[in-house]
Amino acid sequence: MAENRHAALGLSDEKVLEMYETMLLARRLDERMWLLNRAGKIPFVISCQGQEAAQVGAAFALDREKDYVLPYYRDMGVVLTFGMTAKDLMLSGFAKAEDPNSGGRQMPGHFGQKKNRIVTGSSPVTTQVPHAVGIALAGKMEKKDLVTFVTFGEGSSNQGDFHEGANFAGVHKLPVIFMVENNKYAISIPYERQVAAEKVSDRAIGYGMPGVTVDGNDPLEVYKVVKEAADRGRQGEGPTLVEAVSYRLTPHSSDDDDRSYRAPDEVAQDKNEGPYHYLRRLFEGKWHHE
Amino acid sequence: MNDESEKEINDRIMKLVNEATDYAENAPYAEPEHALKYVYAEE
Repeated sequence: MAENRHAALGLSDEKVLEMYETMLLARRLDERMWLLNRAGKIPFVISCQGQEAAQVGAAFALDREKDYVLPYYRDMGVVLTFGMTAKDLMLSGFAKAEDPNSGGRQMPGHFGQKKNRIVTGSSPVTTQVPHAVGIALAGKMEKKDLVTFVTFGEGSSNQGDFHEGANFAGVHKLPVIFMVENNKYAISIPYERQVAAEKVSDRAIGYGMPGVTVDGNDPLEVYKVVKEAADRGRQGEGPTLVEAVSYRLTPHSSDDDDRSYRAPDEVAQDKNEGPYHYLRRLFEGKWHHE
Repeated sequence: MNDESEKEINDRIMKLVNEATDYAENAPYAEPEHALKYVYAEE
């Protein structure tokens, strides 16, 4: 039952509440950004909605003092967990000088903040993967106790950068956690039109690393597998490929109209079952009657 | 968590979102000449 699940993972009630608040903050910031975009106040939005549980669950499993994160553009939940603030994210949305990511020069979602070990990403998708592998290699050479955590979409798992990075990390047993946030759409292309394998995690064996698929709507399950992957990395056992399956609740970006490639009821159905509701149910089971 | 604490969390988070929005909306844009900063190493 929900009551013992987080305790069994070594998570206190306070920690789980903190996870919940981080997920909720990500959702509310994202919703506000859409309003501001439609009101003509900010130029662009690219959402985390539907993926907060995977992002926050994973980021909480890392060491926020030592590890490096290389998030992709939807990872508001990851960067909030690693210390970026609501204000920082809004400054980026409004493209203002004080934006810590790029001083207002880059599009939103191009996260980077040195003091929180959030590594600046480039615009072409998947370039963060070999960067994460390189940082892990440097960490190993310098005998540092660090793990790198890199995320990307399932579409990115088809890119050359993924292959090269995963292969190199596998060969050299580097402490990298590759997390695919499979939200079932690469812009407009559904999963079955991009990947012939049943699961993205099936690819792991080809790189000599374990691959695991988890319910990306369940933050505790994601926490568990990422924690195990981090432990493996720290013990010198090499990289892990984690596939967190979720659903993208918004169009690809504020410049996309998803009505041309998926049915509205498909989105509505998943909205009810999204990660935010998942954790809420967890609390209802555990704390509602205290 | 009960209805009261849930409301407290929601209110606190919306306050953060509102404050962040107001702050960012009123913050200055970068000076145009800043576009040239960090293209090359600073002297």
